[in-house]
Amino acid sequence: MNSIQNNNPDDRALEQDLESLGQAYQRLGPDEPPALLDQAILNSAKRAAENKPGWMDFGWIHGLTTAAVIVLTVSIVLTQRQTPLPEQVSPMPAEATSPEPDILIERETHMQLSTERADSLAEPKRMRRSENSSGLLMDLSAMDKLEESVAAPAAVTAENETAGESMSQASKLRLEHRSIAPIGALETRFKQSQQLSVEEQLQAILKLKQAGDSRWESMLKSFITDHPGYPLPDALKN
Amino acid sequence: MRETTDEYLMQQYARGNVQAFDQLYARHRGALYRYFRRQITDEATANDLYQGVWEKIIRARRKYRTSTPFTAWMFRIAHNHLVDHYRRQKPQAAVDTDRLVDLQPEPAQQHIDGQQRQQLQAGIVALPDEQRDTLLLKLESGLKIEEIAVVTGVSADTVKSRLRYAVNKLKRSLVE
Repeated sequence: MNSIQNNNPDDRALEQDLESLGQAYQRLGPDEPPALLDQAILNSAKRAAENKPGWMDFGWIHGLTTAAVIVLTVSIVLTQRQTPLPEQVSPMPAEATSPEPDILIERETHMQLSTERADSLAEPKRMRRSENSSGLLMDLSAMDKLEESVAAPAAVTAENETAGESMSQASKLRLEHRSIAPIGALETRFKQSQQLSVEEQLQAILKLKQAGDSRWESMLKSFITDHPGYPLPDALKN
Repeated sequence: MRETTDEYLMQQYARGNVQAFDQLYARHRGALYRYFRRQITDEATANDLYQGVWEKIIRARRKYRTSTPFTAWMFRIAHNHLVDHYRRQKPQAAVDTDRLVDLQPEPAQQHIDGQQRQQLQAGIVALPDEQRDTLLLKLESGLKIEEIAVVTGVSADTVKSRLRYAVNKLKRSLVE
């Protein structure tokens, strides 16, 4: 009863009153819980102590696991999105605005000589599809068909890649296939002569001939079919 | 030999030592029971509340921190349990002097004069809920004013005020 500070007279009076009241209160008698109630509570405490902690008692583990899964998922997604794309072929100029065959041929020749370019073209189909959709590259499947039609000796089509071929052979074939793809692209554009004038088509054929590409003959035949009677330059008359 | 503290016993029980709980229970069973029994005239209800508090203590054993005195922690649970009970029973909980007829002294408890005992017990029951709760916390738990303030969630001055009102009313009822 001496827990009240004695600085204040009111507090001192309250303390004295509580002391006297406490003495009277103590004489009220020791009310105690029934024995059965005691036993029930003690049994309950014993059962609780014997039970191993349940999952809910380890709520922090549950929270930690959830947080870890979220962080892992987010990091994987971010990592995949930030992975740089493989080096791609520099986009060709917009054909409607600059259909210069010289520039195109030079670029295609450069691409033929560049192994790295060939590697990048050998990337999975998905990448090439996305590039096609943006209009930067030609459709390679269309080039495959065109190359088959001109029966280029070095052309190897995808049909030759059987399931039994080793990975190294498949890669080699794909590399060869992609290395001639730029000429095919040129032919495709040549076929789509809406973008090239007649003179430009002839210049492109002449360039192919000068570069030693045997397909200039088939392209010339195609040109003559499309433009019968058009005067050919002397260099193409043979 | 130094007596084992309540806080240590509770900590031991949280680690699975049932004997520690038995000791703790033996120390506090009387005070906690009287805290309820002298506020709730219905014995069955008082027993339910008393058991409910111990069940809460058992469930919360791993959350207990020894930085809090066990007695204050236990009576805080008891106080909150009682407040919840009053809220549930509020329509019938207004202090009713008719309840005093239930407070007839039992033969075994006639340590003081029968009439004076009845007056004191009836006077406690007749106190407003907050004053009665504060007075019984003071008389049964032995907590300091500041600790009672924490347990009941009011200021120390409010606790003193409630105690003064309660003591004055009881003094008057005993004189009459």
